[in-house]
Amino acid sequence: MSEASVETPGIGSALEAEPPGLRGASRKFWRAWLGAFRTIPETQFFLLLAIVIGLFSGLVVVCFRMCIEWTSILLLGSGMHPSMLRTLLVPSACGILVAILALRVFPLVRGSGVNQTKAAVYIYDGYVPFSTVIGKFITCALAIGSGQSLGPEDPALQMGAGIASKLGRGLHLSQEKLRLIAPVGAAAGLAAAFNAPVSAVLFVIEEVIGNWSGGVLGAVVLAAVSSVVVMRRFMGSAALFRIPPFELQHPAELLAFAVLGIVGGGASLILVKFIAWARPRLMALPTWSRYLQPAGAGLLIGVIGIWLPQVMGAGYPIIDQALHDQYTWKMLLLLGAFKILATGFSFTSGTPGGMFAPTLFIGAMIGGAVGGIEHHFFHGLTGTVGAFALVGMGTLFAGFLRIPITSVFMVIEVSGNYSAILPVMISNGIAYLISRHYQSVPLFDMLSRQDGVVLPSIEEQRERVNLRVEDAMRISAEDAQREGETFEEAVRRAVATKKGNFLVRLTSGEWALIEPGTLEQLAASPSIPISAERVDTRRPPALHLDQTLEEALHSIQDWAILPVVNRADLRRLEGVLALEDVLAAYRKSSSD
Amino acid sequence: MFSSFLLLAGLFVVTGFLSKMFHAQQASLARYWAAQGEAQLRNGNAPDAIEDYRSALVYEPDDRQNEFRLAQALAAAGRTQEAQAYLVRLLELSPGNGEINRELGRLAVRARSGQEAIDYYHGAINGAWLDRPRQQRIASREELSSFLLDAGDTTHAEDELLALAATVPDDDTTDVLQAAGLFLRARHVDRALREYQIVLKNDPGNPVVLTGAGTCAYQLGDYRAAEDYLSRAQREGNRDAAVQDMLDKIRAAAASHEGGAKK
Repeated sequence: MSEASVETPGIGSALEAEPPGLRGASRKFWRAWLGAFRTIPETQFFLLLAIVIGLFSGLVVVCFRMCIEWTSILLLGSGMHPSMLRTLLVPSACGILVAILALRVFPLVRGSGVNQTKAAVYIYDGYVPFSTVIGKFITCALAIGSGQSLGPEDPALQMGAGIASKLGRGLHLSQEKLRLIAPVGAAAGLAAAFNAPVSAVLFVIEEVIGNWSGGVLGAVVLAAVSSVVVMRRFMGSAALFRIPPFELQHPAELLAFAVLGIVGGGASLILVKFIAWARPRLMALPTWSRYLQPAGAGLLIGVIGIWLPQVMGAGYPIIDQALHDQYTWKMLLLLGAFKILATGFSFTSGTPGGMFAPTLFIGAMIGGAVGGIEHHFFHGLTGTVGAFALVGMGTLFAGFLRIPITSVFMVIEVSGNYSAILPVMISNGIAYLISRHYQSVPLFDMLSRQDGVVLPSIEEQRERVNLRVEDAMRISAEDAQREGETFEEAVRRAVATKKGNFLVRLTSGEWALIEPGTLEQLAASPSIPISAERVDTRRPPALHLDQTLEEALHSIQDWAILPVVNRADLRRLEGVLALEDVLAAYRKSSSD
Repeated sequence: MFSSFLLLAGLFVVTGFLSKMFHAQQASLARYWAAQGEAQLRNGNAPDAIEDYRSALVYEPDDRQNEFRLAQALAAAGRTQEAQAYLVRLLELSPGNGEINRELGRLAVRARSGQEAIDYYHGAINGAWLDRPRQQRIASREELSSFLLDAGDTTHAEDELLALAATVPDDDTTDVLQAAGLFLRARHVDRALREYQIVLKNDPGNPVVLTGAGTCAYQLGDYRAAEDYLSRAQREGNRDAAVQDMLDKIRAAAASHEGGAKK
């Protein structure tokens, strides 16, 4: 579909299907509306579609959240402590059902949903089968509602991507827009599940797309906002967690949060290492065992749940209680440790469900426990245990999911309190660095590699060192006019030394290229007067030291060499760059 | 496109219907678990009450009354630290709440934190009460006075008792009696007698008050008044041996005094 076209035939043809049964005025109105739609360029239409995607995703996520709650009440009862029989039987029995559905009916629903959405962007041209949305809805509601230690956010993200993909295909969007539509839906789904549009947008940018592309950012924002509007319309505008007031009284208290960063980084490593160790081993077991793995995980969680029912399910109410200092530090530590185990069991067993909620849970418990212990030894600390629990949520997010920017904004957004920013940044930063140091591959990349799919690693992209012009250019006095040398002197030197290509400075200060043919002509006719007006020159684009080699390659085209000039003084030549220099720099970088 | 909008509208309606059901169910579950918690707390089963109130709060997280009752259940179960943390948070949300201040005062008493208890009880005395504010403030001051007397801090206790006597209305028999009892504990026998006499104006035949007044008069050495009060107490039905003992002593003393006078 061409951006320049006034009419958009793809969209137009999709709109041709007129509604049956509409009569008279409504039919006229509909036709006029369709006519107006047909004239919208695809870029604008994409933005409108993003709003529709947001509305759909918001509605589906609201239903999803209610469905999880109803399933939980139905299966485990409405109290905090289900009976022992239910605690043991329900997660394991539902585990078998979930396994059958996931293996027989909806084979694409296993896992959290983040990598599946990335795969849609990078492998399947934005295609997410709609059956995955249905399958994810049913299996995750059943799994989380029955007490598996998983969350609804990542599935909501995948459902949003699936809805967007279905709408995009139905409207015959161009291939380019179809590829971009999955992240738009993903942001909408995640925003509705989290009631946090900024975090959702950042997560999609940071983990799924990997860059701030203007083409998709507007759509992602619109989709996230519209889905959150819908969610708040039905579920209320309250933030996901009710955060107690928090204010940092003394800068020295940041040390206490730095300790939390170290502990949180360690806890996130334990969970990642457990998944990295257990998942491939369970996947290597015979196929029939996959029918039993979720049930086995359910049984183990049930056993934990007899003593600590708080670890079952997504655990939002428990996080809320931890945020309000309702548990002693010993209990918080116990809950954090057993939640790591329970989440590890659930996730590695292949049960569909997300990792966000358990990560927040573990973070809140570990954070609260660290805060409690620190309070025990340092009575002067003003930050409450709840404040540590809040910061802990972000810390685990940063360490486990390796999304440092999202983790900071997530805490600020769910707390609505900017004063937590410093502790959050310090603690998250430390946890992220620890996790990176001891676990080279981020979680989502590790999972995709275990599944035999090589998705682009956003972290690797982010961390990749970009070679710059200064890394490849030559500082060669032979190729260009020297400082203090006149135009004529420089050209005569070039003719005498028989250089191939030669850069000269014009009176305007611009650099120009004299090609070998011209130099040969001048050599053949020494009587020709040499001046800038008489000598044939071409004006190549100038480069600067800090530009990337990728940018340089765009400029280089068929130029033999390009001048590298100072940004503050365009007359000053820093060096020259040829295609061979670029290739040599890349070769050197690879061998290093 | 049309079908998409139709679907969107349909989904909107269905979601609206389901969310109404959902919220109604949540509210109903919150009420159910709160009632369970109330019953457990009444039966003295604090640990179960805690779980019930926590369940109620899962469905109505912002219900302050349930949060407060949960804190009370935690305190009743001896989980002082958790109860205190909970109450402090509630107090941050409504700083002038008398009920929360008093609960925190009680926890401070339990933790033997004298100054903290005084501060919280003063918060309760000066705080806002939804139900019977005057009586609640008096009761809070009585609790504080009692704590101070137990702690041996008679100076502060006397201040509180004087303020208490000034605020208790004369027709409030129970509180005046309570104040009189506290004055007695503080060895302010004359003030205690004055409180008893206030009650006797409205209720002259109350055997408890007569006994109290008689005891005070006896301690002050006003045996004639003491005999009068105590014998009236006996006539009104007080058969307490201590009363009889005091009367016997007064009469014996009076007899020996008369005998001495005749000689």
